[in-house]
Amino acid sequence: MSDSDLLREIAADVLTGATSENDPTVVPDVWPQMCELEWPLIGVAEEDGGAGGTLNDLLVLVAATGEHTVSAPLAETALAHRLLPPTGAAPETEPEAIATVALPSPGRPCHYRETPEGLLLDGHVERVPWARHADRVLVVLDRHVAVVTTRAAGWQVATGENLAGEPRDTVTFTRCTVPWADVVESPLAPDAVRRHATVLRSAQLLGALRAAVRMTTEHAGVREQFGRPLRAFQAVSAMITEAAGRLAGAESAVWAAANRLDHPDAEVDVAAARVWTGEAAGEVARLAHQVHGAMGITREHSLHHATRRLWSWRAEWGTAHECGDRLGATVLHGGADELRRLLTASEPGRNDL
Amino acid sequence: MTDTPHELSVLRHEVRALLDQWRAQEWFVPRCDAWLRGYDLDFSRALAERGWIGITWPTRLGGGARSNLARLVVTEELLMAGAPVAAHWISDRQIGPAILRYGSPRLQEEFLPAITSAQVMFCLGMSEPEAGSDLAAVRTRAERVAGGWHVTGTKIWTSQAHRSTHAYVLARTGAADPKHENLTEFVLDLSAPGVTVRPIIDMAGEHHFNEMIFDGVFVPEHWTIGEPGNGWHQVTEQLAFERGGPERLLSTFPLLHTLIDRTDPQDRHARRTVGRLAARLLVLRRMAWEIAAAMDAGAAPVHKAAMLKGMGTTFEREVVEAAGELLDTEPDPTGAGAARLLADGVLAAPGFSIRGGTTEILATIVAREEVRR
Repeated sequence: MSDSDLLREIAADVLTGATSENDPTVVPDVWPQMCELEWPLIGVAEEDGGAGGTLNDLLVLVAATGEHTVSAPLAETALAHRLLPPTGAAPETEPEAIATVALPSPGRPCHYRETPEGLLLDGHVERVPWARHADRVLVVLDRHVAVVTTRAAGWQVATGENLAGEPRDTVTFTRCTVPWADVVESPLAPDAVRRHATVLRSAQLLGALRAAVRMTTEHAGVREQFGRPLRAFQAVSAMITEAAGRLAGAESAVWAAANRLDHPDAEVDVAAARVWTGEAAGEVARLAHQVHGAMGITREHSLHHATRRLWSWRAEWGTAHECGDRLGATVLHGGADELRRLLTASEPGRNDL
Repeated sequence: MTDTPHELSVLRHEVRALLDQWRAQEWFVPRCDAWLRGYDLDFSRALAERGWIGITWPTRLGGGARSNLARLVVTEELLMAGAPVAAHWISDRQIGPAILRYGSPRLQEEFLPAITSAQVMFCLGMSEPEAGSDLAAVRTRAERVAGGWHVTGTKIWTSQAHRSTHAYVLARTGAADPKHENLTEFVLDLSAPGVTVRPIIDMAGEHHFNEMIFDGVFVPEHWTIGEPGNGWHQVTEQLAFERGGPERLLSTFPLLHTLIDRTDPQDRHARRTVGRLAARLLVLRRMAWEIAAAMDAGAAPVHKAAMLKGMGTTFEREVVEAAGELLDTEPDPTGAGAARLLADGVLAAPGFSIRGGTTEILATIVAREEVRR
């Protein structure tokens, strides 16, 4: 058994049964246990205050939350820890504290300027995950990361949700000064932060794809109509195969992107993973519901725990559309030989298999 | 057998540089579906001289003793270039490996060095008029005679049979019930008495398909591949080689190449379309790589190969559709450049999801396995 398999089993022990109807007004029950196990600190070196392990380990856990259709601010808090320096700029926080990352969209920048006291923020960032529960909101502003806490005045949170009932809030800054003590130089360029965020969401999507495909194949094996299981119908076989193929591609794509986040071609692998997982999300959700029939669209059935997450997460932190656009630009500027190079430049290592 | 990343990279550059040179010298013009339609025996022999046919087979049998990853490197370079490789493709991909896996030492010595030197060219005798997707329904019979077998029956959809020296033949050697038993794989000499090869012209007006009629064709005893009666088991394993390779995603790469060359990066719709195609190709190619690596590890990833074939052939067709929409040209089979590539692609595309097992049959195989998990 590989380390990843072992980690996946541990995650299953923690997460099985943790799915619930999300109440965005409260922190999920499973979160304290995840923190006790230091999951949000995995992938940050121990000497930097982390829990050690690799980014891959973190992604295995993040994918597991998707697989068990659990909502928790793991990806967000872990990404925040990757951006914070070893000795926290923010006040000491509780081990269970939630941190989140506000990524202003390229089309709607959050205005800021430097003052003697700190960074003066004016504007808003939409769809910030878990902001209402976070005691630190890391706003990524070019090379700065403003760590917004209760020490700063002039910001407020307006609540919003995604389709899965997870908090996606709007954070508004009105002449909000973030003191220099709470401003850090980002160890990652803004593009790299966005790539990390995209891979984290892609790993969640991968997990939710696993869940939807598993439920669908199980259902097709046991549900009988016309005296035979659904899977015996060729039309249903085709749907299962389509869904399983999309999932297999997602497994390849997400780990390829994860392993190459520090590579000069990272943008390409991340974009490919996001296009694939984003397209797969829509197709697999459609197929899963079609195979489940009417019972799958009830609140009582558990399928929507997977599909509402698929529809939510595909729209967050990079979409197939945006990533396809960026990849298209790369390929068209570089020409077909550049595509040939990109296709064959990365020979996956044994760890990815 | 393993190759280091460096060794693979050296091999790739060697293949790519040579193909660039041969294309510049106009030895070949890139075509869609060239692994099935691009027949050039001299070209195959030039590859054979460099040791690129049977590259994974043992050296004592004329091979290169290299990994399946090395073979993937060679084949994907050939496919991306749209090079004429049909003469040796089936032998290298499928029949050589089948003989290596199940053939007697004598059979191996007789045929494998002849394949790697491009002296023997195999075609596939699987489908029959009454056995298409339902391959186990084959009716071609082999009757025992002194010193071997007499094969009688009809095979169909055999690409390049009219130019091949030998056929692989799946035939019935006992009762037809149960139908998966009593099947046997043979090597058959296409110049033997009793063989008739008739052309079938495809809708593009090309002759690559054939019908092969066997009327008591003698096959010597030692040209049986593996155990008589074990044919079904053997042939299903062969399909991992047939389905999991890069030719299931790169058949239309020359058209994609042209589409990229001729698309304006400022055109947002075109840019997104190309970007999404590139993303799918990057992922599918990685899956092909993983299949080759699994084969190097001794596995026969039949399930994953079937899945890849379904998705890969869909991708190949999507390239044709995108090119039809975005290229500022109409398909013209008598034209050159984009017009010709588009014409090739449009007319070849319906075959992609039929040959090597229809998408529908593959779906049955994959779904059965998925539900069993």
